Amino acid sequence: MRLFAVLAFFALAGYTVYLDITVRDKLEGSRWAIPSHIYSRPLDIFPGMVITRPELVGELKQLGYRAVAHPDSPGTFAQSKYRVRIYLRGFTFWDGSSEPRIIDLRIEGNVVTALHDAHGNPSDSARLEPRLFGSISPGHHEDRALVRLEDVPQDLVHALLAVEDRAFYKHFGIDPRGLARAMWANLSAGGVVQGGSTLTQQLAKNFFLTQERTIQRKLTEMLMALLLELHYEKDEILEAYINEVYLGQSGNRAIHGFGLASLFYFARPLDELNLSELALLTALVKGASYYNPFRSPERAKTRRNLVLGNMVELGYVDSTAAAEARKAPLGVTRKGRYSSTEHPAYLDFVRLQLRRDYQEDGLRKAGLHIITALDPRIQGVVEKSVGQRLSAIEKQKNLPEGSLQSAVLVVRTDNGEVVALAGGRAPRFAGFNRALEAERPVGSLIKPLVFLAALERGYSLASMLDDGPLVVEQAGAPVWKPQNYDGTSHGSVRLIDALSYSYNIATARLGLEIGIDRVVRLLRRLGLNREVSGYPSFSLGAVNLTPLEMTQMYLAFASGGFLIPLRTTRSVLNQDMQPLARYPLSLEQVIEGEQMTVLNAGLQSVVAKGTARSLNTRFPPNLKLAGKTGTTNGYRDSWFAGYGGNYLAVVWVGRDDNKPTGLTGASGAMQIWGDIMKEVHIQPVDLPAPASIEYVQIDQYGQLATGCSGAQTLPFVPGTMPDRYASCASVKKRRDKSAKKQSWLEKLFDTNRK
Amino acid sequence: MRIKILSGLGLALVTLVVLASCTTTASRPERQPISDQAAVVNWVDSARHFRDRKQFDQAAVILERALRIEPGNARLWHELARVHLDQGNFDQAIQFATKSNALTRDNELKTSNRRLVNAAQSRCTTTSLSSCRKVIQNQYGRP
Repeated sequence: MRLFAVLAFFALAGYTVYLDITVRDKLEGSRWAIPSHIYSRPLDIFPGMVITRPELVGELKQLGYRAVAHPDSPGTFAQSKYRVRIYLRGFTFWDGSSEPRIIDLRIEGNVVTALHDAHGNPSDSARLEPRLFGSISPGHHEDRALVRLEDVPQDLVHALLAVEDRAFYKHFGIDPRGLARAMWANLSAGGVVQGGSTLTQQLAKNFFLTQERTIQRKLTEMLMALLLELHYEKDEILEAYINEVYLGQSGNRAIHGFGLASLFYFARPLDELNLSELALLTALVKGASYYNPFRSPERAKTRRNLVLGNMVELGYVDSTAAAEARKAPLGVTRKGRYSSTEHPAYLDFVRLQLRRDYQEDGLRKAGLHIITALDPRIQGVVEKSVGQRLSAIEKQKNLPEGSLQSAVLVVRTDNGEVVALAGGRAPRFAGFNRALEAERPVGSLIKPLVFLAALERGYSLASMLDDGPLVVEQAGAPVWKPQNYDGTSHGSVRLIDALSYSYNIATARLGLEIGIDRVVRLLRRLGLNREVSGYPSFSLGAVNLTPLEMTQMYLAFASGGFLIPLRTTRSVLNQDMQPLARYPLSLEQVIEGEQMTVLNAGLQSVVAKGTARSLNTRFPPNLKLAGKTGTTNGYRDSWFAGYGGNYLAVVWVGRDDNKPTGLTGASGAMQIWGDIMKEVHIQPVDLPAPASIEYVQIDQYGQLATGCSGAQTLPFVPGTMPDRYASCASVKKRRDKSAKKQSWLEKLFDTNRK
Repeated sequence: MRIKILSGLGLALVTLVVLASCTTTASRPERQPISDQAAVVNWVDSARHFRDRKQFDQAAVILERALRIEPGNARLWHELARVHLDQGNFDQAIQFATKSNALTRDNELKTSNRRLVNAAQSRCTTTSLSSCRKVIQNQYGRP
């Protein structure tokens, strides 16, 4: 018997030592595997900025700013017809911190016409903090945003003490009176109805133990609580508790800690919550699912009011304040709240790019703050446009509901930042990401590459191409007879027309003349980083590429001939908001300015009068938009890639089962493209032509036609102008005069350019 | 007599005004500010400050921010090229100067870009960055 007692003592002692090591290891080491948090771009505000008042207010609401009569604390704003007054929150950016401050904007139409500080002094610029929109979390799907006790509102601490552990600052980890009270209640009820656990015990349970209710687990929990109290101050325990406690569920991600719960339920940081809101969060500690304010608002309100009642009882708040808080609505919001399932497609790309520099494990656990280029407003526009337009097309074409899919990328033309991305029509669905992964035949979207290769070989927009029937014998493969979309041949056509109207035969023949290998090499030069096969049909887009790859290619056109790697991430800060890494802008000229100017004119012609001309009903011609439609065999894929001065967007529409959609590039993808571009304040294409470019009037037969009616002015690389004259042209003199006139205009244009 | 005195005074006044305006014209104003945007002007000042202190990343961050507002401003691209040159990132220095050139017909700026490229090029030869030579040959011909 004595031996048994000795053995039991040693076993208990050993177990206690083991628990002690476990407890200290957890609290002194990295307590939690903190997920990396992903933010949108911050918004620079400055006089001259293009934004409407509703758009700015939309940004503020997404960030959880509250509309008030007089902004008097960070995270509030007021608006009138032309003015928006904002009390900005502070934020730590890669290049320094900004303190909370008031700004006053005047917005007329869609332009910020004045910016002042709180005292009415003019201000150069201000910055709206980025918005947390996602996280890369550990495998067990726990998500949290740490807060320090000193930043936690006193009302929250009081609320917690009032309902969870009144004797917290008095007991030693276990509260015998509370325990006795709970036991009595349980015995009376004939089951477990009351916990009686202290906050310390709850922390021990959450940290180390399962939810099962056994005597053994309870004893272990008590032992651990004693050990916690032995080693740590009360405030340290309380801070750990505030960051640990489970407070809700977002998809398959568990919301832990009050810091993240505040963003999840109210879309605002914890230090901005009022008494009623803090009481509600405290109410959730007892059962985040049972008291879920979205699903069971009445139940949540009752519990919240009970919290408030306890606070009054203990003198933490006066009855007037509590009565006011009881009257308040729950205040939870779905709009703008933090949700891990927001923009998962964009998150995929962030992750993909960061994986080059960070181990997946590091991303999941290191608590990094990742600032991306995501523009929440444009992302919202993309998601809405895709959903609405696909549904409308399905109805119009009698296609099964939900059968169409889409992928969209929107990027800045000057720096390659991806501002929005859709991987499918369900924006919250984190599945197959078509933007990054769907390798589809690209059809005519590839054609500009063939024409660019030709321009680099001395062709011009006025070069005449043969669009007559073509038969290509291929060793070991069937004879290839490319056909035009309308089933007819167009004889001899200008290169610009072959591009504008997307003539297949002329393009196929041109591809063969200049060499398919050359075209494939050009695609590599413009950013494709994998091998593709160069069959003769490559010129017509018989090659499977992803929307991402097409975007990289078209960015070279939209940027004026520069290869700019597509980027999602701007910078990475560590858990303490210290700069860790930056993803700088880089570029490389891959197309000479002269050829680029000529190709750009061709792509503008596609919109002005070619296959994308219906865009002219939606956009004014002075935008000089450029783009290209793409349709594949049997109408299986509908593509459009197009750009203005500031944004390029590439859109794909098709079906996952590869069945025909009945859509051309113009009737499918281009419609979504138009919906998006209408909402992004698109600017005119303004890629200055090199001084060497000559502008000459040309007729429809590719002849010099200065002074002829109906002649079209086209840009030419020196030495590529046609040498044939139209009969109506007044020969050389007028040609020279025309060239001179153009260069004078060009000069005038340039004097105003910085 | 009075008329003569008045007209004499008037003439003197006109002469003074003309002289004053001549003086103003004579003291040539500084080169135009880099931007009409006060924010951009201030950011460029900060970027130069950081560049002088060899805090190149800070300088580049600010210039990239300015370029988001004014992507067509050739002088901003030139500033970025200078940061990369001083940082020893010669390849990108050349590329940004090339971008600056593509956006401007200002001969003074083109000359500055050319000088910058030459500087990068001469340092490239000793640090054997292969991409430098390729770009220089493509864009500017042989030095």
